Amino acid sequence: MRVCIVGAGEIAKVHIKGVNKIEGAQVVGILDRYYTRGEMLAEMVEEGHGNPIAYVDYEKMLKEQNPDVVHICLPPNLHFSYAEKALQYGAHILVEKPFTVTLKDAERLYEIADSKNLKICPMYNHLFDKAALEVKDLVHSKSIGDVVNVESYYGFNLGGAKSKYNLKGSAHWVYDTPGGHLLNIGPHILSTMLEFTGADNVEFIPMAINRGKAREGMFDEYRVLIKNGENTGSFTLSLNANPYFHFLNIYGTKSSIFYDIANWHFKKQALNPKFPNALARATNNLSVSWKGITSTIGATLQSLTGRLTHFDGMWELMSQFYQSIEQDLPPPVSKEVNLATVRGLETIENVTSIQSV
Amino acid sequence: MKILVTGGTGFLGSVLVDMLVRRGNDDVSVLSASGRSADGAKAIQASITDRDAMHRLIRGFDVVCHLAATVDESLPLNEIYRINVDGTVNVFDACIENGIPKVVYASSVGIYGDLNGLIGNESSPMNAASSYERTKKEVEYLIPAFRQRGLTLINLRPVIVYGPGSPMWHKTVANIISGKPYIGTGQNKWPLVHVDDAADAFLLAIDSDDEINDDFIITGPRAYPYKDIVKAIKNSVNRKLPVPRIPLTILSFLSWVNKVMNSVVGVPYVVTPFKVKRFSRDREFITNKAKEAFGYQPKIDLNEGIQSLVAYHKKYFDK
Repeated sequence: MRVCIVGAGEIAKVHIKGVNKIEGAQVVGILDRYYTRGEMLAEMVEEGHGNPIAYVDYEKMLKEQNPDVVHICLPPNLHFSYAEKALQYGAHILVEKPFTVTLKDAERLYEIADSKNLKICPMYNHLFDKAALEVKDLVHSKSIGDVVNVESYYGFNLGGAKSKYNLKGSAHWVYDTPGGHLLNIGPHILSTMLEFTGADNVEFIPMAINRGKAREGMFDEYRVLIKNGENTGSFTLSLNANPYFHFLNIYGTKSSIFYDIANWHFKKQALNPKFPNALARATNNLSVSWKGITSTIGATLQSLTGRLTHFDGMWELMSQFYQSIEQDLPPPVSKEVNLATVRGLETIENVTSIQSV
Repeated sequence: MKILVTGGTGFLGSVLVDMLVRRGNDDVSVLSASGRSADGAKAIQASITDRDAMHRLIRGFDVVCHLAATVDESLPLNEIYRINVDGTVNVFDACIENGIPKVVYASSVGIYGDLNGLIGNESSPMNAASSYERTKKEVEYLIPAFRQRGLTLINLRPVIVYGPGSPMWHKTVANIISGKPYIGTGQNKWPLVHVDDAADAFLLAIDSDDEINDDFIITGPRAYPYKDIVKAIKNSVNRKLPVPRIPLTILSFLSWVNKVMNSVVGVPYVVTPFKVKRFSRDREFITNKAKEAFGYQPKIDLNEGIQSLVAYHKKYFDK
């Protein structure tokens, strides 16, 4: 498959590493507003995975390279126009999060893709981490019964002295895009939650405040309630609380799953038909601790030996997307989850913007 | 002549401005983000990243010397490109729009990166590797289009500029005096030009014939093995100093350990594999193009140049 990468920033490097892992995938073109950044990225393409040319002219690249797949790795306000052009040239598209800024744009892209029998995939990689794949299997196989409620938390102290997520400089798009922080992190939270609450008829009730980490008129704390039929959910996004933590708890009618996304492990709570007595409370704690120890040792060993990396989810999603193209299967992230995620982000931004006025 | 120098408060820029002011027959302006200037020159406060300001302010000059750039590679990549590429495009666009007759631009031999054992000249392949070098290479890609649009642009590519007032060289001398080891055998050649010679090249380019519209490497008298540079520094401080060395292979290994530790547990970088590679580059440029075009001839040899450097910073080194 002929692959073009659009945008040669930091995240594009991870895409190139992903393409390097896919048999038969050839990076043929890299577009950036600067030639030399495209060239820099081209140097990362491994032997057997293409000898890409750097471009600054998008149409020229599409015409000359005729790609099967285009990866859109640009700031969000450019996603729609570049994705639309790729589809019009007959390429499948893999789009970095957030997929688009508006639902209207997202729907338009699916409309074009459907009419041309092309596939679309947003980079919602948290659904494809190794632990997430297991969690999905457990939930979709009804191992925890029916989902009742899903809650998620994603927090870190933006720009704090010890923050891992200090976005260097003011050039990052989150600072200049309305709802930037929500658009940056929200797709991860919402896409994982909607996978389990269902995405067909979902409603969002948001509130937001600014404790000073976001620019005037923007927010750094979000609380959102979610309802989809009988399923409910809620999430917190905090840019003030430390340490970095990201979890997803899925409460079912039979059992519940506590998924620590930040540390790559989850615990399925044992089935307990009655309220716990003293012994059960102690054994529950022991069980949680034991699971924590074994998961930690396993993840540490895998991490040290390079078998577990921060980007595994992205590469798994890419692999599944390429497979879906080759075998004409549904893309790994459904249209429903994607559109509901975009709609959720747009709704939250619209409602909270009105609140701030 | 009415001359504007962007980056006229920097290392090379300040020496150039000083020379222009001292020769006395020019009306010199310095454009800088800080608004600082030099005695005898007018100060214009603006950032080259401000496109509107460039179009407003760069008018009525006979020559624009564009030296403003960042060499700070710890900045985010976007920021380095914004200053060195977008800023330069703003300056060149403004020059075309406002009919500036001549631009003298400070590129760098950094565009060539590693010469892979060959002797470099203006036609050598561009193997820029660091972010700063790549921004300079990006501008080089754009220069033919600016010339096609009518810009007369003398593009000077100095080798490594050294001399009094350079923070990088101050640090280098301080390291050698404090007994820090240098990498490898010291046989690798460094192409150096003294800041006074480099500024002289700009003066000659400013005064050159109007039809010159080309690219020129600005070299010193020759390239020097790094051990000779260390020796010149030792001699100039007039002190017997040990100069320990660290084998290249060991430092390369340590830099990779540092890299792995940084990615796994966040240990901060002390030295990166790229920095080791860059430090141990063996490069030499031989060209007469600037001499033939506008009579440039470097005058300051290594010993004299290092003496001026150490004398300037002596008060720090004596502490």
